[in-house]
Amino acid sequence: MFLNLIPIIIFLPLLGSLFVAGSRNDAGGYSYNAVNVAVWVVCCNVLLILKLFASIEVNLDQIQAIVQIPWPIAPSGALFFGADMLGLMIVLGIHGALLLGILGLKDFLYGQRGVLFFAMFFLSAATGFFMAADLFSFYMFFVLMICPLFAQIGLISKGNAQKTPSRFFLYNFVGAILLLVPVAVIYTMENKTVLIADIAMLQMPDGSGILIWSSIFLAFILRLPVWPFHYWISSVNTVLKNPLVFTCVNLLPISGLYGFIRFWPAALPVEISSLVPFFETLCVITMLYLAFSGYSSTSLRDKMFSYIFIYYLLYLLGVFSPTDVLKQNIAYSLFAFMLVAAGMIMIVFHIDNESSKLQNSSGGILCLQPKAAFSYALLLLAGIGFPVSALFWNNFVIMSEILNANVWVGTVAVFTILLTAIFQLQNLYDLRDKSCLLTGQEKVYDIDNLRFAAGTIVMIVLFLSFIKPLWFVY
Amino acid sequence: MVCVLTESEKMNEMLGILNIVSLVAGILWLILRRIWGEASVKDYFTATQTAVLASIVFSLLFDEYTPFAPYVSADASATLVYILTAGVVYIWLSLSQKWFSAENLQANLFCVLALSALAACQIVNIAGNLAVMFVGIGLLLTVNYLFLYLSQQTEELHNICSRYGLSALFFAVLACVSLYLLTPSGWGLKQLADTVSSLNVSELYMTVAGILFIFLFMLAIAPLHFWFADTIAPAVLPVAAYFSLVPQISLWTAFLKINYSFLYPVMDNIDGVYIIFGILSVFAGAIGANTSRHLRKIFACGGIYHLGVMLLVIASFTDQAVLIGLNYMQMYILAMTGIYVVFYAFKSRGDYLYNLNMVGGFAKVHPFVAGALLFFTASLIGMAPLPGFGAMWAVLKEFTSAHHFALIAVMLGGLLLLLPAYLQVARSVCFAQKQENFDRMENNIYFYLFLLAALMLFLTIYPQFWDNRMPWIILAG
Repeated sequence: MFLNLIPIIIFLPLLGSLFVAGSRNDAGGYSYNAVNVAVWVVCCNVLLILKLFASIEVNLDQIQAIVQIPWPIAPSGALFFGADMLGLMIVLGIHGALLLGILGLKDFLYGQRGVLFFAMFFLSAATGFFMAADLFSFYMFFVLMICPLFAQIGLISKGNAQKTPSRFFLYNFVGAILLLVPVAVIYTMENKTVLIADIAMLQMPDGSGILIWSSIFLAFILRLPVWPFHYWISSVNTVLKNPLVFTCVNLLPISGLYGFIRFWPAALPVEISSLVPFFETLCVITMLYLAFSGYSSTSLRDKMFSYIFIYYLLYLLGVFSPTDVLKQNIAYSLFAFMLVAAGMIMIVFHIDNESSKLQNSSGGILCLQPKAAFSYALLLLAGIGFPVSALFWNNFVIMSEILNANVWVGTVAVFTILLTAIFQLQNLYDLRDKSCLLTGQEKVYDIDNLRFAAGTIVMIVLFLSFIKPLWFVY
Repeated sequence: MVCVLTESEKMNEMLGILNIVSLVAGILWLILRRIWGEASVKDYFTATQTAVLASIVFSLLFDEYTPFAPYVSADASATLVYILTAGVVYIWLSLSQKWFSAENLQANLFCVLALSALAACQIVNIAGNLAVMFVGIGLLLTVNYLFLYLSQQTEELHNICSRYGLSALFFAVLACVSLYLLTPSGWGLKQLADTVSSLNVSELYMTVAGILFIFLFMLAIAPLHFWFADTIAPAVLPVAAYFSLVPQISLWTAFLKINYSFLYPVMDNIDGVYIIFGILSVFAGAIGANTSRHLRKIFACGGIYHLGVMLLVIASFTDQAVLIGLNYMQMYILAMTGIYVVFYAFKSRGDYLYNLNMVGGFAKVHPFVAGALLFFTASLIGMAPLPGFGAMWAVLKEFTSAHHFALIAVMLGGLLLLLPAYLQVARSVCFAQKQENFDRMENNIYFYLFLLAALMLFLTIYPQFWDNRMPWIILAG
């Protein structure tokens, strides 16, 4: 039974996207119907993922439930998909994050059908990517993920930002090409379907190993915000004024991270292990830069941007550390982090939208929005590592391993995480500072009950995952 | 063993030329109709499309008959190429009819030229003799020139037409010289392998250059591409569509045929030329596409890039390379046909739009047609899992198995250079502000787009469709 669930989980959002495209706008061009369809599709898929979770052996460190889908096009006769705890946790996290992103659209509902259509398309591609069990499926969904994001960014880009989608696509397509070449070389060498689990065992010809692995390494690193490969992220994030698109685009670096998790432990180090310290240094420099820019920025979205990418880089350092035991911790932490970040994005965009009505700044705005203040404060505290979610334990383990591997890198990483916590707390303080509020402000709306409920549910989920990370597996 | 045909068998073999006869009959009807008095545009196009359809049917029914052997050597690959070409011509004529209804141009001459071009393509396809092939090419050059002549509405086009005529004449003369040098041993493709091997170096270069340059010129491979993009931009839409779609696949197949029939003994002398010309085409096409905002010119330059890639593939002279070359070409032609169908849909108040600035916001009015444009464009860049990916994958595998990593870098580097131009098209069509009130879409546009996408999908699923249909590959050993 569980074997058939995987294709359904992958293609259900794609089917949902067709229904979203076919849904009618309400009078005035509002996309309530499309939102409802999207929410139902994501919820149904979450139930299927939970069912699949119950069917696999969560403690087994390998892709299970491998299913073949006939594939008549080159290079192989079938695509292989499978699931393990790591992949499913990420898929579940992405579904949760997207659900929160869709709820965040409530303030931006005019003409959002296209954005929702491509969000569903993205969800399908991302799910396929994290469940891919063979090299070609992995590559195919790696490329496919950028198409809906290109369209989403294009749909919301206005004026001077119209070149942003092209830059985004081009930059990520370079990564795709860098992955395509090694995939072609490996398929030519093996002349058969290559499962991801077998990549570590491949015998590379002398001299070509370094090129193949460097190309794969660059393909993944281009998806991550590591200086000097961070260009697309910084250029795109400045134009993302839509919570759903912001959420989707900020989920893309996970594909690079996941690529490293799958390829790194056994396969890569032999060829390019000497480069690891260099990249670790680049990572911590970028983390420091992001932390300081988040600290100095006054924009809520910029602070969110810094916060999200500092944590991605922390996970990347965890992946680089010479141990395989962190995989589980990264999975638990990443799941919690995605929910926290998406929940915060949902509320930050609401605050940003409402603060545009204020005459001075957003300072003190949360005093007028008790529900948003409650949700935001809880999520932020969980996000910076208070012991209320799986982030706390697992980030603690990840950081201790990084420190264990390299004291200097670990120290700088801990320092940036502290700096992140400080600027986030300072931000919360500013938003709740009553003295910044001017009297006679125009009416500022709080988040609606649905978003408040979503924020509360996220907190409950996070708290339960603090006690038992896989509490939902029955 | 010499096979002697009886009279009745000879008569039966003549059925093989019924496809050309139907085209000639169409031409005669059009000429007579013109002499007896003007008919409507619809009448001309209906007659022309009927002739094309009849020609397709005859090709399918009598593909095993080979009249005038050994001057003609029809095989399954020639039939496939012809059907593909004739199918593209049918779609092109069907869409051009509306154009001629709106514009005051000679529909009769256009239809005559269309049928002549198709007949010339078929002669090139089935030629078993170099002289016959060059007759077809000569006819094709003449038709090309007349198409440009038909299209000349501006001073610029008049100059382009003259330049094209002179260049074509120059390369035709070179080809004739080559033919003359090969005269003593006969012009049969099968005999020429021995002849070419026995030529001294200067004769060899002279002969091979004459034969190859006419193809490279007509296929618009750099550095002989100078006429192509400049012709397509100012020409009227039906003529631009003709140059981009109709002669390419026949010429490419004939080019492969001569390479694998009799040039393979001297492949060590010419593979370097192919690689240099291929690299030049890849970069000239990719850079050229980025310098224009003219839709047709962008895709014409894209075409030069793709031809460059095909040339790089066949430079290895392996049997697999021929299949890949043909598969790539058919994907390219189908995708380009789809793109031209969309160009015929870029219409505002009866005017056909050709500039990126004009088509802004098209997706808001016709999302499915804009989606089709993205589909065909993404196929052209080989994005997985779209149909074009299969062809690109085959090229990559060919290069990797031969350890031609530098060629992979050239191909993919060129693709990255080309991509901004295609992205610019996608951005204008899908995300830019609406500039024009676009006309209502005709149903046949949707039908042709669907048909072409389905055909691409079919040929991607069955890339081995060409296997065992090219007996001339065997000659390459």
